[in-house]
Amino acid sequence: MNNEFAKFSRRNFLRLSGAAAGVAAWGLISDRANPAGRLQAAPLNMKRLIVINMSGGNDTTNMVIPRTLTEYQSRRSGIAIAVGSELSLTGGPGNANYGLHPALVNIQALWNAGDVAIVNKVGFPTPNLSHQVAQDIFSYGVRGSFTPLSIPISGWLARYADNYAATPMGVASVGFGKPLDFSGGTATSFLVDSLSRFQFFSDPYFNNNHTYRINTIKSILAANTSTGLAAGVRNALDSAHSLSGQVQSAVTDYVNNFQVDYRWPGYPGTSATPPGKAATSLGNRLRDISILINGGFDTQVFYTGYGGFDTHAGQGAATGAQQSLFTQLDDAVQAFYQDMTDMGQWSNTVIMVITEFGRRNYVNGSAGTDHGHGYAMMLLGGAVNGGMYGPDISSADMLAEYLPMGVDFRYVYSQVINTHLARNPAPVLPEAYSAPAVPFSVV
Amino acid sequence: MIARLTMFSLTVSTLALLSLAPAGCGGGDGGGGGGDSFVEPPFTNPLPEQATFTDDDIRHLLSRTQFGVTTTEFNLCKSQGVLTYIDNMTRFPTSTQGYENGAVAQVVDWKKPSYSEVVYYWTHIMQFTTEPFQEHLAMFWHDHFATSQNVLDTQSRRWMPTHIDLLRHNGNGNLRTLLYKLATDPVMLVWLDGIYSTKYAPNENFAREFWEIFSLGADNGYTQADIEEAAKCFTGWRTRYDATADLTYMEFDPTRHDTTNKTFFGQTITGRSGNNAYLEYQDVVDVTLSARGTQVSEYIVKRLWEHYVYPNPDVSTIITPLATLLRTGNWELRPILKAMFRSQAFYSSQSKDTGFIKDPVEMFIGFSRATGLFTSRSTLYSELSNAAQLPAVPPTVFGWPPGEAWLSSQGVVERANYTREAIRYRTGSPSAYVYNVADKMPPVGQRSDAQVVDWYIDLLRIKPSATERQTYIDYLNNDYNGTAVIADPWDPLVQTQLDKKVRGLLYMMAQHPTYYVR
Repeated sequence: MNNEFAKFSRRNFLRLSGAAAGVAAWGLISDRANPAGRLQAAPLNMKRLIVINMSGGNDTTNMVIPRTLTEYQSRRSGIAIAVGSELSLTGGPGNANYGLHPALVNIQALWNAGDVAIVNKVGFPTPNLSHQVAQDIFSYGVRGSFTPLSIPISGWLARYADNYAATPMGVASVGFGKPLDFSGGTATSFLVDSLSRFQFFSDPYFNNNHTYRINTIKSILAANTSTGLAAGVRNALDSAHSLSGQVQSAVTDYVNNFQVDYRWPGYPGTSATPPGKAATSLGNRLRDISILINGGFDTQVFYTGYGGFDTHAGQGAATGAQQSLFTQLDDAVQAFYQDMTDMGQWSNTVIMVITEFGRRNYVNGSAGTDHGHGYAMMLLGGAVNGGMYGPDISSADMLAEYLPMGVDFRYVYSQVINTHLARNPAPVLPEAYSAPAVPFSVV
Repeated sequence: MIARLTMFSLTVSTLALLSLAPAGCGGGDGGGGGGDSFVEPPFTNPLPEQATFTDDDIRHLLSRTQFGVTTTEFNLCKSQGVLTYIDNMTRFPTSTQGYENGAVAQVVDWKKPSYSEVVYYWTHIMQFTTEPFQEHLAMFWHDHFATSQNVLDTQSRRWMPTHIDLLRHNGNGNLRTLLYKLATDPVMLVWLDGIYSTKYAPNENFAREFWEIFSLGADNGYTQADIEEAAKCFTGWRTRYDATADLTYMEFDPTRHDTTNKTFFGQTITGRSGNNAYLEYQDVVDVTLSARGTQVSEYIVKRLWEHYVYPNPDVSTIITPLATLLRTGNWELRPILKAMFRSQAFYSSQSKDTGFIKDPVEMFIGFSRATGLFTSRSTLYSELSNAAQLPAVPPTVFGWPPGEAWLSSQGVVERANYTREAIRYRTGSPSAYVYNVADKMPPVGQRSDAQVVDWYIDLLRIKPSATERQTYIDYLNNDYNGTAVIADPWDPLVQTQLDKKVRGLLYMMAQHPTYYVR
């Protein structure tokens, strides 16, 4: 603990000694001249949205537990969180009807600080049990058809980038490939899997000639007039060649100034690891997002996530498969929260935890749950209005097959875009949708 | 009573090596496409056929259907004639092949292969096979019927090479047979929770994906009620650990099987009981192919067309004729493949100009096969892993994300980094990846700067502009000394020039935007 405090202090010293001095010390002023990506070697003071996709269909009924309903226990024999072992939500904005999964201890603390909003029964009209269809709808932000909207097929983040963030790193996917959310549109998105590998490795035998090769490639790309798919390749290659150096500088900055081994166990090149903690895929991805924020890039929306939530079998309860996924979330969010606090960016942050659907209300024969409909969305960040929102889960709901949709996902997305990111959501979410019966504001 | 079935057959070649086969190990799965007793009818193409074939047509065919365009395959196609070549290419060997022998040696203990050995087994075949279309098509099916070895452990991982061989050996065969085999494939049973599905609580996972992904497509002619009924047919499978052998076996337990009648698609399947009750999986496949035959045939044909020819094919002139052929041809796949590859549409400008983004397997294996510059198996493994396409480990049941999703900022970097590994100068004993680059070049006497550049433009099938071609030639005649570009005229007789510049040229050409498109 003392050791950790000492390290934070050094970090704070650097930050508090003044932004200008800090930038000069890191020696990266030359990068500022490049308008393509990195704007300064310190966090930009700007609003950000971080989307975490729990891929596979998270059983949120075991994440945000309707603890007072006996039907919750009776329908989920073997996978229900035992009465009294859920984490209380009576602190902060206070709600006695729900509890958190026992793995979410750090998120409970954030709830108590008023930094967590939970929205029950998020979904879309006329649900579908297919992963693919549900993912498509959430990714497009369109439930019906594109035809009456008179716009080409595209993901909501592609439309956001085209309208509000058409810079090379205006919207970014980290560790999640190219989700459909980024498809279509004209702006080039930044899609990276792991920052430490985002570089063109050299040829050890012919170093100088390798430089010559790289420069020749860049000159070819700059003048290349390929069309069709090859044009997309050219843009991606061109962007990668111009950004990889800047990103590596940002990695170096971060490693030199944050104690990554404490907050983000398993980071390449570090040794000290907190007891009982190993690197996780979500942790690595949120850490990379933290590096990019610290590095002064102008990214407004980061998209990331992790899989394993399709728990048809062996879901577990307070411990088990789903618990280890929740622990991963809890640890990663906590480390990210600490980073953002040190950078002075927590109040600029909204983390939106989504999934493609919730699961059935009852346990199946394999100690798991099958695909369902509505789910509980969680939002975290200094910019969030803490509390429970959306229609409550009733006994009748729990006795039904699925949770019904009570809140159209776009109601929440558009609030975040409108209030937090301060953009007009209409071009991003052009299809009409209904507001919930009881309106609310998560940000 | 529990009957132990022989659900983990190995290939003929592995069996030949494996005198230690565990008790119960069944017969080989080496039967080739075309079915065991199927007599091939005369082929009539329902699509207009291409009459003559240019060299570019041949390169197009090879580029679309194989990993890279090798000089060997190009010459073979020219000498055999394209129609004969297609006929041979789509007919896979039914006996043990020499090219598999090196692959068998990739695994030390076939009863307990390691995680990486499973990948090595297949990537070795892909790299060195003499039947490159067989592996390309197997990757198509692997993406379509995506299962991952991540759900297996030391006691059960031997099922994955068997699963891979299932896809390799049946990809050109009979669709009904393919669906049969996959419905009771041990990896599939674990992957989609079949081993947890009992009459007390049928698990819907496999039943849903069987229609949604494998045979019909999402929301295409089935309901939730249909899924619940079909799920009952698949009940009864389980795994059992044998402590003596320290292996897990797949078993059908009739006491866990739902013996009631099941009704879906308006047809009723009479419930079966006893040791053969597991055969209801055949009933589900049969009912699907009869009651939803049009949808299945159109769905599968469209998948194939959109993988090999171009997206969004016309329904009346492409999909309907091919789907009809699939149904009337007793669900044989090989005629569909032949019809596609012989069609005018395949060689049309729509096909050639649209193209597909190569996936990492196509790009890496293709680069190495075309140039002869390979990496070690572990380097290939880690580069494929970094590029997010490790065979035997697709990310989800949907397989790998399609097409343009590969064009992430990271993705293009990883591809360059694989090429850098393949072209890298290495010292040591000569091997597949410690080589003299002079042995991989155009014939002596055809090695002027322009000849070398043009040779590799053809080989890699890139389409540089005249200016870009000249830039490549200039590269061969210059170097960089750390501060400035200096003249260093091309001389193919100087070994260090070859080691440095031929490798460099390939590194640069593999980052030409058109190289990413097949």
